[in-house]
Amino acid sequence: MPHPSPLTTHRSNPAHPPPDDATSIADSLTHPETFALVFDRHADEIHAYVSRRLGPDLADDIVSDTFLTAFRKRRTYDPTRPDARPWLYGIASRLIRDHHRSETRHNRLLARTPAPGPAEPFDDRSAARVTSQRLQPRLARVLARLSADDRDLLLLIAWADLTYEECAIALGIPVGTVRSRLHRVRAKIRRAFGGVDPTGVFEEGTA
Amino acid sequence: MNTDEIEIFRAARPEVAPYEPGRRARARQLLLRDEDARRSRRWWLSAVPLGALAGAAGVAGVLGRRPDESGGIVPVSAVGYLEEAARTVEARPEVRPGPLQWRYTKERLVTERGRELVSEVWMRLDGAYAAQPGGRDGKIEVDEDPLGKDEPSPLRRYAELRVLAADPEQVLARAYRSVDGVRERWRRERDPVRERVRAQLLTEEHRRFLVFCEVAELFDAVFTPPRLHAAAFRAVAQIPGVEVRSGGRDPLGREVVSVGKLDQWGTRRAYLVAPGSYVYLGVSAVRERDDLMTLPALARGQEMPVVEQVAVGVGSYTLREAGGIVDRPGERG
Repeated sequence: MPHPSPLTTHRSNPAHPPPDDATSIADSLTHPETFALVFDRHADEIHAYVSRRLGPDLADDIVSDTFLTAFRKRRTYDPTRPDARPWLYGIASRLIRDHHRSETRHNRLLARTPAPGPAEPFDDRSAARVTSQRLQPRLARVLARLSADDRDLLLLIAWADLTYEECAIALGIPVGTVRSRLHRVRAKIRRAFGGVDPTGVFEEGTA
Repeated sequence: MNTDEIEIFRAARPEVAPYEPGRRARARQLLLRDEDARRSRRWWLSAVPLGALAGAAGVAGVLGRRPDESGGIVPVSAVGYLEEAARTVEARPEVRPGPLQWRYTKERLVTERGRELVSEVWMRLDGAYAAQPGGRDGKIEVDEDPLGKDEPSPLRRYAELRVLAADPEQVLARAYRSVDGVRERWRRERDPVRERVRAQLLTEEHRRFLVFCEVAELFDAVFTPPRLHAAAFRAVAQIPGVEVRSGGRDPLGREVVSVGKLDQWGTRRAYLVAPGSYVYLGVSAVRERDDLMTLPALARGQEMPVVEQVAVGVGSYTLREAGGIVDRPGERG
């Protein structure tokens, strides 16, 4: 009699907590359908990230390709890492690079969009958001000018909320490289804004 | 982390719509049915091995036989077959070609009189070049700017197809709009030949026949995204009079399933697909009945634009022998 699928076991026995990603991926080597648990956990988050970068039209395809690629490469997954998000973001980032031109066009389009006026009240809590909205076309211009490596790193931190360590896993680089590259990205952003703090409310050098 | 450049980008994070549940479910399903997903960007459609080329005289009418004379050709449930076809093709991953790749097609035209013409063409996807075998040695010759002024490049055509709604109802609605536009021109034009058949061209039955052809053209999946391909199968299933026949062979000896519809003059136009894989193999037009509407006699020298009068069982075929996306002209997969 074949062993029951771990997916079936976990579904049919709610008393057992769902396994972490590493366990699901390991199980999927013998029960491929178990990989659906990884999809269920992370598909929405990866989709939101890709949508932000490429727009919604391409996000469906990229997300589908991300999980298919992950599924095919699951034998190479490091089982000591319980959370597969950095790995998945890394795959998605590489697929996004294939669409670099689309992304650049997307950013250039945003860059041409006029900045909205200061319609919202400006208080401490919303300072960054309001400033960002006003600066959005400029931010899009900055993004379009960054190298693919720099853009991946910046957006994994800013839009995917990955830590430096998770970025290092996603991009396959040492944590030290993440720190030094991020320092360089900050400098590029400041230069792109003419050497002044882009928020206009913080002194240069507080970052 | 203090509010800094990174925070500015974080705060400017665009709001995005949630993952649409239907698309999410499809992606999940695709993940669980990965058997077709291992194809590379360089892909190939000739999934069916070519049989020996049969003599045209002996096979030209194979698909054209009536079911009761078919010797193995059997009608099958159109709705069931087309739904299965839709499910199969929509589970395939979409493979996006690059602009510097080439579309390759090899097609064989078999005319009503048994004459055969072979066309083998490579078209670069940006439309800048086309290539074909030339001269006695079959050396590949490349031409620049092969497209006409308003002719879209393969890549542009692909981009247009990608943004079309992949919903059967919308595919049908779009086809009806397109056909009605043509019919409106027919209604207005003063061509003396069409004048003679105007009433026949404008029947509801002929309208449905044209819609069938318009939608079934999407079966040619060299450039039809999987979701649209599936929608085309489902849309065709909704057109009255569409019939699916299995067990036949085409003039190349290949086993085919034909998805066809009889026009009001008795000619059945059918799109041929490979059993099981649903890969497009060509199109046929075979006269099956001579007891339906007749065409008015033509004046000497006039050419009938709609259908050529041929004997029952005789027809023409355009057969796709091979097709796919390759990296350079001259590659045949």
